[in-house]
Amino acid sequence: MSRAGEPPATAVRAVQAALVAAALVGWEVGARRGWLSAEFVSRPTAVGAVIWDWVRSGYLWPHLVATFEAAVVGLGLGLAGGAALGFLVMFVPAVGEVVEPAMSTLNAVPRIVFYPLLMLWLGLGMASKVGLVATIVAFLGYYTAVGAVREVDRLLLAQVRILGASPAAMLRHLYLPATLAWMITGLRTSVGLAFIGAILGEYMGSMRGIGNIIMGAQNLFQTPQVMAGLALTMVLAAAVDTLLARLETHWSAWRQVEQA
Amino acid sequence: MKATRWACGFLAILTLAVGTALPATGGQAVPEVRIAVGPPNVVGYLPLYMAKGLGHFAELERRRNLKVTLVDFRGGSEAATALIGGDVDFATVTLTHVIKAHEQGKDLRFLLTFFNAQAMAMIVQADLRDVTSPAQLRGRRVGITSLGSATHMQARHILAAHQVDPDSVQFVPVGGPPTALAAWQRKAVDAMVYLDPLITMLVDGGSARLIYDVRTLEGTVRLYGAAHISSGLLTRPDVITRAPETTQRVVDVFVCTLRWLRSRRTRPEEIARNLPPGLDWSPAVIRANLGGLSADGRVLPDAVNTVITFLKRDGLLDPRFTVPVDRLVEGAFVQRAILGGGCP
Repeated sequence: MSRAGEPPATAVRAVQAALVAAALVGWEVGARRGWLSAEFVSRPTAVGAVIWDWVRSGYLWPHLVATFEAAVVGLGLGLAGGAALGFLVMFVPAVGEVVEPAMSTLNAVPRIVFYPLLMLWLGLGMASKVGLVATIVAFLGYYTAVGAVREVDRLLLAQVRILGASPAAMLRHLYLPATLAWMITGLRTSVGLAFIGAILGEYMGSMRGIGNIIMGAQNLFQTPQVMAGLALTMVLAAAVDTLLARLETHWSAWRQVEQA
Repeated sequence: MKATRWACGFLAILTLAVGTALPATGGQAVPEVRIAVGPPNVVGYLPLYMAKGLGHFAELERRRNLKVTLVDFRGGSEAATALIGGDVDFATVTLTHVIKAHEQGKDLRFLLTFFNAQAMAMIVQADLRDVTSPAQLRGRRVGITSLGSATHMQARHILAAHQVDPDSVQFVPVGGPPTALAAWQRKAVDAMVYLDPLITMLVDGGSARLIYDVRTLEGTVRLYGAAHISSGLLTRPDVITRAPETTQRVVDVFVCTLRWLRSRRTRPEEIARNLPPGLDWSPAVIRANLGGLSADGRVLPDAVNTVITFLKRDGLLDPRFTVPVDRLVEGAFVQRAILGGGCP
């Protein structure tokens, strides 16, 4: 359903599909004609053939599952942990005073630097990848929670307090619903970061995963394989994002009603 | 709407797959041996990939109830760190990492040599016709992977051996294979010291000429005065004491593979055909590297001392550092494998 002045959704989809198709055709033709170096960018048909081969032989699944698992579990743990700390900081000012400077400082440190240490502590299996993803997205969860709590309507807050709501009731009936839409938006922003973290972790040391495929293929100059790895990551991230976008629309329905 | 359904379906399948994958990693019926490889898919680890391609690891699992898993690392230091940390039982890296580990008080043992020559060569841009030897590189730009790396040291040795002050050239770090290829094609460097398959690819493609080859034993001996071990298999002393039988079986596999490779050194096509799926080294790449291949895995004390001497000379090792060869090398397993001749 489109609002007045907005193009219909089918038209938008058609334009998006046409743009993607044009880019793929341009890439294929460019590489075939030698305008683009096939050694560096490969060709969409070659990339497609590699993916098809991986799917058919069953080679892809353990790698895809490993990356998905590291990204999604890390994303869930990191965001939940970060958000919990964010709520704690907002509700207990003493904790906030202690934690806030540490969070700002730690957020400025590139987490990948710690990855060799994470590998030593958590082993080189799934746990270290989950740990890396969690440390990357936790800050986003933290700052989203802090920002969301600050955004809660002060008037509504005062009214709920006057009505004698307990802290637990306020969390359940006011803070959580009010911050949920923010959290989902934070979650969507973190999806890309989570996949970057998972693949970086696999790239540093792993037995399987899309990062593992990319690392091996790079040393053999197998550009189609590298591109196939990247394309699959995009598909994974897009699938998770589409699902979250749907959740976001669902959970923020009340806000649109309020704005109307 | 349709996209959401697709996304949900796709994610549901993946979640199911994650769910089914989890218990499988829990209880393991077959004992597992993990070998760290850093970096993966480089020609310096040919015996490792050949053992896999010939089905020796599968045989170990089937007949000896021992599962071998390869774990890939971005570089040799990461692989050695994983071995020190206890996450893996063996590693295939360069001897340099064993020596550096000892310097830092970490005890690692080199079990077996893969190559007695360096898997590198120096090339020059094909259109620089006046440059026919490293002696003519004074003032030129020389590509290396990164400053302080093995290719950097190799380049310095080659230049010094040709009476060129290494500080008189400009070293350009070109990074990993894809960026090195880009740098070469854009002529960001005049010469380059690099590894295969890039070297063979550029030479065969006509854009490069070989001016010094360290991949052959002759080229290495001419440069260092003796063989210079590059890659091989190492482990921790506690693995040797805790699991001597497992160690022997792993060493047996590599000695057996080295013999197989040695017997086919004039037939690189046959070697290429038996590589594991996905490894597409051409027979030319394999031929260029076979000269430095160890015959039976034995670790030559002279070759170990050459590595130590040059590490000190390059300032990469404390000049006061000393370590007896038998603290670096555990040669008994190779000896037994040679006498026993046991393939799995």
